[in-house]
Amino acid sequence: MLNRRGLLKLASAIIGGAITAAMAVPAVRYLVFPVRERIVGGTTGPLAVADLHDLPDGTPVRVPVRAPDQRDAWSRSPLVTLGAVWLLRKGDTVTALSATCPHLGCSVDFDAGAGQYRCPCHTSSFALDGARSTGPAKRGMDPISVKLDGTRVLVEFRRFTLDIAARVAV
Amino acid sequence: MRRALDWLDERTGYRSALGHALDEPVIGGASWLYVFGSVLTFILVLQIVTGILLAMYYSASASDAWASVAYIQDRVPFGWFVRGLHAHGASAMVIVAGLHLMQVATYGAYRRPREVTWLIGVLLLGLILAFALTGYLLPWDQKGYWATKVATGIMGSSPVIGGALQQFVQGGNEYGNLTLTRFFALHVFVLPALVIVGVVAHIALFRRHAVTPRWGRDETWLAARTTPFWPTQATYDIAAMGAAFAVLAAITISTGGVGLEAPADPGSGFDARPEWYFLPLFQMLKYFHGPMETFAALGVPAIVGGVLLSLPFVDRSPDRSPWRRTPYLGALCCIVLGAGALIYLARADDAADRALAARVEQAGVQARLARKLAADGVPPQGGMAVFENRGYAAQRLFVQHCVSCHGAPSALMPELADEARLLEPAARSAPDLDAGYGSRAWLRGFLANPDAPEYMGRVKKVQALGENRMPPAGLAGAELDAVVEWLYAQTGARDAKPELVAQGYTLIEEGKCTDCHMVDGETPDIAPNLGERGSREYLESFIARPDRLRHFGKANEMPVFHGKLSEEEIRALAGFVHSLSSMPAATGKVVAKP
Ligand code: FES
Repeated sequence: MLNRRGLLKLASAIIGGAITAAMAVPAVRYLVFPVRERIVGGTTGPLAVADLHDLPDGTPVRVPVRAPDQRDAWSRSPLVTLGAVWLLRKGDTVTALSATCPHLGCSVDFDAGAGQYRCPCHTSSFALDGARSTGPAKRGMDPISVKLDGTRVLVEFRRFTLDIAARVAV
Repeated sequence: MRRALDWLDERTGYRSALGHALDEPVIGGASWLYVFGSVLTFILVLQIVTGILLAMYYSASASDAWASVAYIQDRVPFGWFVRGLHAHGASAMVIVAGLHLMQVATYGAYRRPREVTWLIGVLLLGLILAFALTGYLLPWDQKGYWATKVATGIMGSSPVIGGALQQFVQGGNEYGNLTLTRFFALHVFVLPALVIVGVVAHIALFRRHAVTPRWGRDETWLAARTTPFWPTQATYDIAAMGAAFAVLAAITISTGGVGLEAPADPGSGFDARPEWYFLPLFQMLKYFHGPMETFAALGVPAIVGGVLLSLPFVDRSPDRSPWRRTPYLGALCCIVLGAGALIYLARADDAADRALAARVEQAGVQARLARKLAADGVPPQGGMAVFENRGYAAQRLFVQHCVSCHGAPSALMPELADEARLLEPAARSAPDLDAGYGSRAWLRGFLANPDAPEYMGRVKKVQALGENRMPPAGLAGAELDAVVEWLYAQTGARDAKPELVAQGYTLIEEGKCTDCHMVDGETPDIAPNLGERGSREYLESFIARPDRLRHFGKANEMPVFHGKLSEEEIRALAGFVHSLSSMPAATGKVVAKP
């Protein structure tokens, strides 16, 4: 049997609990909304980054990748820089490597003297084809697929999960 | 569990603190009239929680604020609910604060020794109003923008320091980014800090002096009925909080949250109305003009504040019974009734104003349209740029400048259909511009019968050319196909077939067309140039100066838009006309049979 005190305690607990629950459910849905949602994104498909004639033969060139149109939550902006790639021309073929270090995401430089890519952060280094030579990176630099449209060089820009040996696109 | 709590209690003494909070004696016993303070504290907590949630998505910049609020409202799950609770919660604060004040005043609870508790309470009421004033602007929509302009304008009209004060508050000479960042900083940092300090002091002083029981009871009567706060009064308080929350949630759900007007447009007119609790001031400004305006806007609130603050010092009657304190309570009642009457008058004025209702309706249409267009993302120029989405701005220009002669195309967005219908002429005086304009089918129809009404039939200057006007092309079969294809390719169409285009070119060069029309260069006479005819660039040039030799020259009847519309507007308009060709013809009326 509940006495008066117990009854009041129960009523208070029920009302308090109901208010908390009524707020907690919407609040949690509201807060976790960005998880697994494409908040930032835009045009998918190949993006033009350079002209074949502007690329020296055999020396990598770093070019920014710009999306013509990007959504970012509520806004839509033209010409947003997404990142950068290293382009390497050999004759009429071009290959591309993501400039994002596969270790923890710093921006990889090219050391022309050594003919090697070097990350300025934790001294990972990579061969001209992107293969890992030294340092903490768990895999080589990430290749980016390239298309040629006449002399226009287009890349399919991607990001990959950092600091794992496998190459998993995100 | 028990041991863990013992451990905690040993180090913090939380049990005795909790006991201290719950065992407070309620002199004379619990009462439903004592719940208002607790309910206010509860709503304050709710405002803090919903405010933090809103800040997770809100962006305080002139270009992003509206877009981010529209995103909360229409995109984030329960965003409308959180925002609605926050906005209606502000109204609830004012109402409950009013009830709290009335209860305290009726019981004479502001009297010695509780004067400071009362003073802090009055200041807290002022802070609640400051919250409302700063929060109203943050969505940067038409309503907040224009209503707050009035408020800062009043500030600017105050004597001596007015101008400087206004610039300080709005962050410069005009409304912009700094206005929002300032209002945001006030709303989420400064005012909450002040309110929390005030509430803590208010409650501490209340605990020091305890509750003021009903008047006319003697000590022994009260002592016999005194109970601890927990559980009876606490349960009353919690039940009242539950009721307040239920009402707030029900209002929020039934209204779908709180409205969001179209983005702030400094170039538009808008019937700005403040929140209901500022309507008394708003209404007074209608009655007081000239130097009296400052008195009404700043003097009256100052007097009301002064009356409230001085109450504990002037009311020194020996008895707490309300009947013995009629002058003081009467003054309070006059303030409340006066404010109520002014609110009623403001509402009644608006309700009687038909023109206002129409403008409000129109503003609602704009607001819904803006929010619909915002689903495509708001361009970086800011909220207003949302109207460029989906070609809305271009279509609107078309409705305003083209429909009265060319008629309304069937391809307009539904939001423009009403306006277009109003402007649709009884008799069109120019070629139809509808879905399919410039397409292969349209070109075939034109070549077969240029004098059909939907083509040049209604153009008086062309018809007046008599013999000199264009005859039907008299082409058929493969020849017609080829000429149509060449003309179609001139519009910049990507799907034109190259071999046919080449054949068409030969036919045009060798046939009768070039007797009057030129392909390259400028046709010296009345016949438009055919090279790139119907392309975007051609349409831009045509809309700007249709009387150019490249276009109709002397036979031109269309108004010149160069100088009347900006280059950007002409470009947008040309873009829309150009896009008609690839829209499926809805009626089949315009596109004649081949
Ligand atoms: S991020 Fe490049 S080596 Fe660590």
